[in-house]
Amino acid sequence: MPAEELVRMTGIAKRFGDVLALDHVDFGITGGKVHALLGENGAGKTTLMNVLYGLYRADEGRVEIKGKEMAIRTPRDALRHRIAMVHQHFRLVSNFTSFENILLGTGRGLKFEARAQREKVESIAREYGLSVDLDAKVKALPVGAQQRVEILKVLARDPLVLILDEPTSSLTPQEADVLLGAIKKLAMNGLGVVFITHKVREVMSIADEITVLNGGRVAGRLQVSESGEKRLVELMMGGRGAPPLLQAGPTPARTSAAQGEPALVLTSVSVGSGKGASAVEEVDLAVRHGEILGVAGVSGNGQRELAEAIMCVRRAGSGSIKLDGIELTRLNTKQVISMGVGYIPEDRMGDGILPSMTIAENIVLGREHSPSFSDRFALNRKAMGAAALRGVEDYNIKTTSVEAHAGVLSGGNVQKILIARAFLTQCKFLVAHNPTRGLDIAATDHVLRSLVKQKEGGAGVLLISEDLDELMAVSDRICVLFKGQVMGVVEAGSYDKYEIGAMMAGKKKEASAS
Amino acid sequence: MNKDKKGDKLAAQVATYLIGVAAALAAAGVMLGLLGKNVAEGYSLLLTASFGSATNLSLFTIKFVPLLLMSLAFAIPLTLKKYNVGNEGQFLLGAVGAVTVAFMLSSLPALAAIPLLLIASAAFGAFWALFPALMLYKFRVNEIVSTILMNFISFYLVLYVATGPWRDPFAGHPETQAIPSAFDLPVLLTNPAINLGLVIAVLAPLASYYYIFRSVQGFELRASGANERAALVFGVNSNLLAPMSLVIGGAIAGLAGGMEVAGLQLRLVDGMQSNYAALSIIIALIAYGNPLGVIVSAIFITVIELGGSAMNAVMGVPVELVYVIEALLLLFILMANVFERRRR
Repeated sequence: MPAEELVRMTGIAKRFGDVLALDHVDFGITGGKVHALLGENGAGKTTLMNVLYGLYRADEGRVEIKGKEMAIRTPRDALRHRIAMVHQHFRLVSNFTSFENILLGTGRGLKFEARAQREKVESIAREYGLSVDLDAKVKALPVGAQQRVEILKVLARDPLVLILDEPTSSLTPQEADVLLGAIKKLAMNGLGVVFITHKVREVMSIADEITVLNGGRVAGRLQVSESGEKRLVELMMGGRGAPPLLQAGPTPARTSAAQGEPALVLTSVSVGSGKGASAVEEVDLAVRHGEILGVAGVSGNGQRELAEAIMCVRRAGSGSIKLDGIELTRLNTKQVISMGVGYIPEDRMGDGILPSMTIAENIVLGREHSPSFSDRFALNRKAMGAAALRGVEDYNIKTTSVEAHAGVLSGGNVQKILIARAFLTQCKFLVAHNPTRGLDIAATDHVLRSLVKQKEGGAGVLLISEDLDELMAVSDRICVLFKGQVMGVVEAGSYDKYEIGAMMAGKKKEASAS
Repeated sequence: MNKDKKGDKLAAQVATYLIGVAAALAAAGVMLGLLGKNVAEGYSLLLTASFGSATNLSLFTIKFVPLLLMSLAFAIPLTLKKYNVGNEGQFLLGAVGAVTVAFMLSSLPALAAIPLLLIASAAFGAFWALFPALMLYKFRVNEIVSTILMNFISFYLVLYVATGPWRDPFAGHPETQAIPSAFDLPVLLTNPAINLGLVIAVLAPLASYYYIFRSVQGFELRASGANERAALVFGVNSNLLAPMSLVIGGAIAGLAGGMEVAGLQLRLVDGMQSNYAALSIIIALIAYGNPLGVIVSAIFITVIELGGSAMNAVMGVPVELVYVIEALLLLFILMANVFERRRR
């Protein structure tokens, strides 16, 4: 089949206030090809695609679809031209089942063609290996499955162009592989796929063409055959930056000096999932001061419940959780935070950000009672602003002011706010759940270094992550969770991706090791 | 530069409101015209009815004071997205509290009587909000339902008190006798007539603003309103704050009721709540719950209310037109806001 140009965007410019988010960008999408849109946080990747999808209107430039100029003003227009987009933050109705979500918006008049749709969706799911429980409520599904629902939802509308915004940022390596396979297959069937990402490795494995954005401008346009990982990183970062921590490979074996006092001790902790079954079962764990304990596992195997039980957001059904000898299960969240426990929650939009409040207020949340930010009654707004400014500078949060509303920030910048919130002070203990989700190379590196700094400052760190590379890069030990149980613990120096992968799939670690 | 940004935003917000107001007034003019009335006379009455003379200014404060307080009673729980539509009943309970104190402790000197009356009315109002608050805290009962039901009870409670031992047998309407004069709010000015109520009513939004935007607890209220789950995850006890905000709202509404007794009616009168509750909701929503904004929108709604009555009395315009204007005003301002957001 001859490659047909489906979409051509020419000279697209978009301003947000004083910021030129897109500086006359050209971009084309060809049927049967995967076009990677690579760039750092805030480079304008999502903005460009939001223009094509009708969520933003460009200030300048034109969009042609199959050679004809078209005005796309709303997502409805985009869908009429068979352009579909899966956003980084899912837009699903959590009380509906997967299938109801897929049906949503497909009805003609008063009627849904439910049966026909169902067959269609099932066959799409089979063809691309996007298996999902169609009758489960979305809120009960793990993040990876929710994303498959999103993708099925747009595929059911027979798109010509499929835009995926950071689709792997919440997936495990296995899930990501499945997704990348599905994308290749989609392109083989003639779809034009736009793959927005900041992960260079993925681009190399999947893309046909690559457009690199930097600061709203096209920094490079390459075929995958003529590019290398190193070259892409240079283009993305505009030639600056230190070698990231991740590239350095796994942590070396620990020296005995790293053995601190026990910080957090969990003894046969079980946590209910709110649906009868327990999400965490009889977990025993100990994290020392000056140690990062990594928690690996496929999303939805009790990580969230474990983190929330430690923070007392959720009550442990049984067992004991002690921090420096103090029983946490009898405390409330505020008391846990004021003991010096930092928390980076998994779901930054749901559990993290206060969209209608300022960046300063967001960074201080959780510590508004502490003497550094208030007397007994009134807030100390000067101290709040100063602390927030430090956070904004440390984590390079892109904003004009700490008094700006957090709701206008991009996903990566929101994540940085949560990081700045957790690292406001030296923690005694830190619970970090997917802290680098959606961050670019430089920001990821910075967060991981901050974790290490907290550890060197004496904090115990529980790092829950779905990114094995990240876990192996900074953890002193890695424990693997499967269905709420600990499958085994691996020490730094003897990390083996395949061994950990097997445990993530439910295989207990053999006792003979170590 | 940050200041400029903030200024720009404020200017955009003000412009949005002005457009909404202008549209509502224009629509009102069209309707006056369609009714065959003199449009210019209508517009001028709209202003003079509130500010045209010292007497009119007195009428203005009489309406403005309870409206302002009632709006705050709605606005404070609104900070965390709780809808205190029970401010009507809380207002009436405050009035009941005021007459109860006045008749039971009738021999008190003014110096003790007035603070006691104000405290009692706030306490009665808070007490009336306590039931919905407890039901919200214990059983997550929707506060809109529970506070409306409490309103119904309050109507009959007022009837019960107004027809009880303190009733005024010669009134021909359910109401009590006048309270002892030691309990009347002190008059600060006679022409225009201004009493202590106006001072309290002006201080209340300032205090509320400080509470919501500058205090730790206010921070937590706003955090809960912005994202209840995130606030909870970071230690804000929304489950307790939400009911508490209802009780605070109840106290303010109760205070309004008590001041209505001690400053204006001097007795408990069946139906004295007038249409304050409905108007207060409009006022608070127009201001998006911001206590300083509430001052402005309360002035505006009061002006329209009085202007409408004047148009009714002088020009024979149906009172329903006033309700139409008020409704249009709210709709236009909300619409203008939507457009302003979409423009970005």
